[in-house]
Amino acid sequence: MNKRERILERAAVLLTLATLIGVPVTVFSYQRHRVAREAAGAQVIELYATGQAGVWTQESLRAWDSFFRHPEKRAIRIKAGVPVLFRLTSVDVHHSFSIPQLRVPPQDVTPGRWTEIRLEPQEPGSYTVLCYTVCGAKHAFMDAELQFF
Amino acid sequence: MNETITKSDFPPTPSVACIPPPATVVKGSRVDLLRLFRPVEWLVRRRWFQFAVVFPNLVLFSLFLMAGVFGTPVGNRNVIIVFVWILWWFLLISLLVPFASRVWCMACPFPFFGEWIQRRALVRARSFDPRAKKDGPGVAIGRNRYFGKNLRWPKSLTNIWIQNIGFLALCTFSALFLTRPIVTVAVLGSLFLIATVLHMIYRQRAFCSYVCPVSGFLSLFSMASTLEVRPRDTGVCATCKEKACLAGSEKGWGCPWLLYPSKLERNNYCGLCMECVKTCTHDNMTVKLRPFCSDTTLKGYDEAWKAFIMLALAGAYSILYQGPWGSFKDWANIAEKGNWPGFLAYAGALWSLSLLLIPGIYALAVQLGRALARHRPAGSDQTPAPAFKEVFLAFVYPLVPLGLLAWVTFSLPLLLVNGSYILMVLSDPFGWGWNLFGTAKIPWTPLVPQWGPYLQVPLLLTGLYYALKTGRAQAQRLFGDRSSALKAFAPVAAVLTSCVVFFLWLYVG
Repeated sequence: MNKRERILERAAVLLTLATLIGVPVTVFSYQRHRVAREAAGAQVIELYATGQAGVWTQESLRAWDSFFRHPEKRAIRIKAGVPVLFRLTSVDVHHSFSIPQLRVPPQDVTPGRWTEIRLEPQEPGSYTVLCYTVCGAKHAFMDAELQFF
Repeated sequence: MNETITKSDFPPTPSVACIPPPATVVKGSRVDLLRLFRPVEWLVRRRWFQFAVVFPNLVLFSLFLMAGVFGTPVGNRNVIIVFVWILWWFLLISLLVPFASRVWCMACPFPFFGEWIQRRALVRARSFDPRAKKDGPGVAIGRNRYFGKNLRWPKSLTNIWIQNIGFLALCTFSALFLTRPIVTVAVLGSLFLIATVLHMIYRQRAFCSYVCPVSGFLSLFSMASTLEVRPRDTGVCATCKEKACLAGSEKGWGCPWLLYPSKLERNNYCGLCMECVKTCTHDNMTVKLRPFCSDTTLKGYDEAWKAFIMLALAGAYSILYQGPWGSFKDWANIAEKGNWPGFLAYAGALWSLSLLLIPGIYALAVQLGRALARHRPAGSDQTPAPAFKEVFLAFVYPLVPLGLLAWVTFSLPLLLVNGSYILMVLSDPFGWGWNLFGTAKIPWTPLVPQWGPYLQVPLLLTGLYYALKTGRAQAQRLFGDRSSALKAFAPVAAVLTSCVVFFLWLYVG
């Protein structure tokens, strides 16, 4: 093996290893940076809507676990006095997100897409999230409690 | 451990052992593409060439696998579903296979890690001079050194039955992996894993030749392709002493597909890796352009059944994914509906159709054709009709162009209707809310779906034309006189025409 071949071989190995490590690192770093930039100082609340379970959940539902995880309804705790960026997505069917007491009108939450809603700083208290699109057998139970503390 | 090269080092390629091939006749004109495009010749002769084509795919596949695990579970917003099953599939079946044979195998990342382990090299070739130096690391095969067990693939499995059954089994669950990213990850991940393990145990590309489910249909349909790797002059090969294309040299590896490139007469098991172009000491291997449907010999029942499976799947998928019968979809969609009796009925019908019903009808048609051809007027040549197997395999060949065009016909509307998803996931591959190129939020827009039938009808008729043309040529070759050939082929021609009528009814009826 001559010097040129040795350099090429090493370059190929390095490139392969860099890909295996670099691709995940780049993807996750970019996502983190992007969300932080979108938030612009607001606290980010990511909610996943699932019509099958009839809940809005903060548990992240990814491709690998969304089919066997059964998220339960839990209160969503948010710091009062700080702006909020809601990032909403659906893992199954169309929903719409609304907080009537805070005059947040129904916003489409589409499968696989993210809807972002900004909320001004709120006083401590408890509010209810409702789904305004008939999203399945559990639509009537598709609510969530927001607790500003 | 050292071995010197012997003929038995290289097991027969699938189906080679079944029946002796007929004398090879090169039909139609050929264009030597490497002579025509010198920069391409320069490129494919570089040792880094294959790495350069596989590497981008490796990057893409690692992205796809990540998206399939961590991305959105919604299939049409996840790059792994949209790129693999809409874009890649369409490109593969409609462009790459018909016009570039198994060029996908050249760029396929599945055997990447296995081959790396086996060769302990990504770019360089490990060679030695068997006369000067026999000791060294790894196993010496031909003039190359390999690592791992390097066992011979079992002779009883030197066919494509594993690929046939594997592909049919995968396709039975198509509704699952076409919609659920994680299932596609499981499929692709398994292929990476199996390929790597088999490379560690068996010689060279045993995985690609005998196991990979994608390879099976590529092998069949590449017979129709307009591209081939062949020697420029077979006379040069006949007098060649080095046989570097088979045994390897310091310039490259012996054929990883365990073929004897200088005697290649079909595209089926050539992965276009270009090693023979690099290693040939006489600069005699090249890439040629040729007429459509130039390889016309099926060599075993395994290949014939692959043709039946592909035709059955094209029909079943057309009903399932483009037909108006929602209940069939519900049966196939076991994960969503959980209708096990329905799913079992669907799976049973699919397997019976592919493995029994279509082959049975075909066998009857062939037998009827032989019987018709046997009735000759008194006084005419009374030579016995060719054996059933020979006629059967020859008459299954028309299913290659017909099956290929049926798949193109099926795949085209998938791209037209779902193409806009490609733009969406290009900007947001993980479904995480990215918008890299500003196309993430474009609405789903079917692209000229009304053109579908106008494109599908000519495609199907082209398939039928080539099927009848090649079938008639096969009949002429087997039965000699025109009248017997026509009689022998008539029942099969009727079956082929019925298939096309069925597809036409499905798409435009």
